[in-house]
Amino acid sequence: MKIGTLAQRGVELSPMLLMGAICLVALGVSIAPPSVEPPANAKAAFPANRAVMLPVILSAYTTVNGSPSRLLGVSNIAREWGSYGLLGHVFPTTARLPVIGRYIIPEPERLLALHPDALFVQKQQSEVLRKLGMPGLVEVSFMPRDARKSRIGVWQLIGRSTANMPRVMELVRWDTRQRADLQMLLGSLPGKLPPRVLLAHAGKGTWSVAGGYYAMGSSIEEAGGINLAGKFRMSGQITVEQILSLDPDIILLDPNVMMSPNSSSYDVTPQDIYNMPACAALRAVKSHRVYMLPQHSYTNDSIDDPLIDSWMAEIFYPDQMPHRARAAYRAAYRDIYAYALSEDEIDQQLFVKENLNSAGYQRFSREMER
Amino acid sequence: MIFRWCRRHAGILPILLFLVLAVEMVLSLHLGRYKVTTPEIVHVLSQTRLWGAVGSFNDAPWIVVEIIRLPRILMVTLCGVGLALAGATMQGVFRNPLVGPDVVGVSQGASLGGVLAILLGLEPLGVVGMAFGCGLLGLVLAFLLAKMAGRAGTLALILSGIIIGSFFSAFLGLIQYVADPQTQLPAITYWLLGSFASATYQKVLVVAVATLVAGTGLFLLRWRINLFSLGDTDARMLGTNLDPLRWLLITFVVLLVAAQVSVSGGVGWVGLIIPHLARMLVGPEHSKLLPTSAFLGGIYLLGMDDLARSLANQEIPIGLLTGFVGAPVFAVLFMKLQSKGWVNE
Amino acid sequence: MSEIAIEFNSLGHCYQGGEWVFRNYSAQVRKGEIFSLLGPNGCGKTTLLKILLGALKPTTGSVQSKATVGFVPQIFQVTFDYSSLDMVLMGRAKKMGLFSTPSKADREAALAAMERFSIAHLADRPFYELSGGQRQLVVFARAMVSEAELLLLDEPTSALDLKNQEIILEWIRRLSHRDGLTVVFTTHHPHHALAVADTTLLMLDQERFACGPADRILTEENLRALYGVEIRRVTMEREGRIDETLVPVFSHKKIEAFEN
Repeated sequence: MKIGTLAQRGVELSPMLLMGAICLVALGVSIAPPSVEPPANAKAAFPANRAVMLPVILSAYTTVNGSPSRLLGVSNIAREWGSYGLLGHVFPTTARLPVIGRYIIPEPERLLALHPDALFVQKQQSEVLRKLGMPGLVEVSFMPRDARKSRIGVWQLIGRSTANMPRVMELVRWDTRQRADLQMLLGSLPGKLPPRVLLAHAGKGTWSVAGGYYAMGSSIEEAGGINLAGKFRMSGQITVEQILSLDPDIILLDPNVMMSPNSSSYDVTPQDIYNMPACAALRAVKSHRVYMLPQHSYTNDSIDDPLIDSWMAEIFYPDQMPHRARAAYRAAYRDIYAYALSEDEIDQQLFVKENLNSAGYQRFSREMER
Repeated sequence: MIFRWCRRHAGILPILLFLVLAVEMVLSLHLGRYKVTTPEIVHVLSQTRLWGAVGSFNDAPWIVVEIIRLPRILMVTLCGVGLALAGATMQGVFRNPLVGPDVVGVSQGASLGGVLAILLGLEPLGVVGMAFGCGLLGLVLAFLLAKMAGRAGTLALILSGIIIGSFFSAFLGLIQYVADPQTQLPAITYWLLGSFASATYQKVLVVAVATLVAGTGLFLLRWRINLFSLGDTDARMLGTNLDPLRWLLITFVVLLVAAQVSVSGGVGWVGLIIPHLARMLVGPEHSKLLPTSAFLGGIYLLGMDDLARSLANQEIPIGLLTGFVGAPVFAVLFMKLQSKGWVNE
Repeated sequence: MSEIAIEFNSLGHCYQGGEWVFRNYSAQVRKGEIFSLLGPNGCGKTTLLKILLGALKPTTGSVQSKATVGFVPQIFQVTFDYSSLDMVLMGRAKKMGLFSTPSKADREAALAAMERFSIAHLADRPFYELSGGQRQLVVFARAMVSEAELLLLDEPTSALDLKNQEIILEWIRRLSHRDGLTVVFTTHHPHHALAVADTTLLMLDQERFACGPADRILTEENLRALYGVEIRRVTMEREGRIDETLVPVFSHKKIEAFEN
C-alpha cells in the first residue's frame, strides 16, 4: 500500500518533474552553450566571389562591381530596389537574381547550404548569423541624415569585401567632383534667396513626409534649398493644413518616402496636385512649382543621387543655373556604367512628361538641349 | 469517446503527452531547409560534449543541429509550455474562460520594452532585458492602479490591466510612428509579428529560468486555483486568502509571458486556446488541467513552429500561423464538443 | 449549561462614511443549538453574518468564537463544470498543505460527507446539472468536510421549492440533534425559524433587536414590527398533535372589491 501511495504521488508529481527536466536540460545546455570556432581565415575570404546580400544595397553593389555575377542571392526587397528604374536597364540581370529570404527574417539554414564567402547583413539581423561562425560576415549600418557619407560608406564596404577599392576611389573622386562643381556653381550665384522646399509623398489626397533623418533632406540642402520636412522629427502623415501653414515655395514629390518602389506610388503627378481644390491656395500650386523627384535608389547608394542634387539646384534657381541635367546624366552613365542612355530613358528618369506642366520644366526636355 | 477516456485517465495523460512532446522534439531536429539525415543527427548529438562544445564552421551538419535547430526547439517548447500554463492559470484566477495571459497588460508591456530597445539600437540581450523588465513593470503598474483605486478582486484587476495595457499599446503605436522607416521600422514590425527564427542559447537561458521558477510555482499551487471559482468570502472560510494568492499566481504568469515575448515577440492564441482544449480533455479541475495544458501548449507551439519554418519557401512569422491554423482547428473542436469544460448558460 | 459556541457583545458596524447598519447587538449561541437570524432586506443580515465568519471586522464590539466555523453560502453558479466531488473536495482546503493536491484520505472524507447527505451517487455528476436542493446539499457536504463545528448558513432555502425546503430543514435538524453541530442560519421565512430553530434573533432596526427562544420571540407583534406585514401565528392539529406555523397575510385590494 505504501508503494501504491508512492506511485500515486509519483504520477501526480511527474508532470512537474518532466517539465522541470526539460527546463534543466535547456538551462544546462545554455549556460555553457555549443559555439562555433571562428574560421581562422575569416578575412582572407575576400575578394568575395559568392556573396549573399540581404540589406538593400544592391544598387551600390552594381555601381561598384558592375554586373552582379558574383552574387549568390539577395533578399526580396534588395532585388526589388536594385533592379528598379534605370539601373534595371543598365544591369538587367539583377531582376533575375535568386531571392534568399525576406528582408528582415534570417534564414540561417538556407544561407548555410549556400556556403557563401561573404554575407552582407543589416546590423539588427546579424545576431543569429554571427553565431553561425560564417566567414565574411559584413555588417551594414546606414547613416541617416547624410546621404553622401552613407553612400560613400557603403561603397567602401563593398569595395573592401570584393577587393575593388580602386573602383571605389574612382567613384568617390567622381562624387567629390560632382559636389565641388555644384557648390562652385551655387556659390557663384549672386544674391540668391534659398527656396523653401517640401519633400513629401502624395497619395490620393493623403500626404506623408519623411522626418529630419531622411537622407534626401541633405540633398535639398546641398542644392541650396531649405528643407522644410527636416523640421518634422517623425515620418508620417501630415495634413494639407500643415502644408498650407508651411506654404513652401516648391513641393517635390518623392514616392520613396513610403518605401515602396511599386509603380502605383508614382501615380500622383503634379497635375493631380494642381487639380486638388484643397491645395489651390498653396503658393507652390499657384506658381506651378510642384515636381516629381527623379527616380532614385532606396538607400541613396547609386550615382543617381549626386545627379539629383544637381537637378534640384536647377529647379531651385532656374534663372541662374545653366541647363546641364540631361548632359550630366548622359555623361555620368557613360563614365560610370559605360551605358549609353537613350533620350527616352532620360525622359523617363526625369519624369519629363509628368513634370511638363510645372514651371520651367521645358529646360529638361530633349528639345531644349539643342 | 476519446474525451471520456481522457477524463478518466487524467492522471497519466500528461505523461503520455510528454512522450508525444519528446518525440516531436526529436522529429523537429530533422526539419529544416538544410538537409540533415537521421544518422548525421545521431552522430552530431552523440559526439558533442555536453557543456561548452566547440565545433568547426566547416561542419555544417553540426552547426545546423547544435547552433540553429536545437536552441530553437528548446526555446519554442518552453515558450509553449509557459504560455499554456499562464493561460490556464489566468482563466482559473479570473474564473473567465475568455481571458488570455495578456489581460493584465504584460504582453503589451513586454512588446513595448522590446520595441523601445530596438529603437534605442540596443544589443539583442538588451532587447530581451528591456522586454522582460517592461512586462513586469506592466504588472506593477496594474497592481498599483488597483490598489490606489482602493479595490481588490477580479474586476478591479482586469480593469486596471486593460487600462495599463491600452496605454502601452498606444505608446507602441507612437513608437512605430516615430521610427525611421528605413532602418528601424522593419525590425520593429518583424519583432512584433513574432518569430522564433533568431533563437540563441542566451534566449533559451532566459526562458528556461523563467519556466523553471514560474512553472514550478504554478504547478505546486495548481489545486488552489480551483478555489477562485468560489467567492472571496467563501474561499476565506475554506482557509485560503485569495488576495495574496491571486497576486502570486499573476506574478508567475507575468514571468512566463514576459520571458516569452522578450525572446520572440508577440505570439497569440496559445495562452487562450490551449487551456480550452485541455479542459475539453481532462475537465476544469486545475490540478489536472495545468499539467495537461502545459504539455499540450508545448506540442502545439512546436508543431506550429515546425510548420512556420518548413511549410513555404520562406519562413512564415509564427504569430500569423497560430491564428490561421489555430482558429479553424479550434472551430472544429468547438463545434464537435459544444463547449465542454465550462457551464453553458 | 451547554457551552457557548459563539458570542458577540455590543456589536456594531457602519460602512465608511455611511450610517450605522446596526449597533449594540449582543447574543450568545450555544453549542449544538439551531440559531436563526431574521430581518428584512438591507437590515444587515449579511453584514452580521460576515462579522461572525470573521470576514469583516466590526466597527465596535467583539466576537468570540470557540468553534471552527464553516460557511454554507447560498447556492451559486460556477463558471466551470466541476464535478460535485470536486466541489466537496474544495472544502478540504484547510486540511491540505499549501502545495498539495487532494490525497486518498481527502477523497474518502469527501465521499463520506456526501454519503452522509445521501448524495454520494452524484459524485461524478457536474455540479451545474444538479437540482437546487442537491446543490445545497453538496455545499453542506463541503462545509462538513472541513470539519467545522459551527455551520453558518446564508439563506439556505431561499431558492428552493417546497419539497427541497423541507429536506434542508430536516438536515438542519439532523446536523444539530444527531451530529451535535451548531447551526446558525439566516432566512426570510419566519415559519422556517419557528419549525427548526431553538433561538432566534430579530434585527428590528439599528439599535433594537429581539433575541430569545424561537417560540417566545416569534410573536405576531414582533414580526409585524420586523417586516411591516401582518403575520398570523396559526395553530393547527396534525397527526394527533398541536402544531404552529406562521402565515403572512398580504393586504389585498380584492377583499375591498369583494365587499363592494
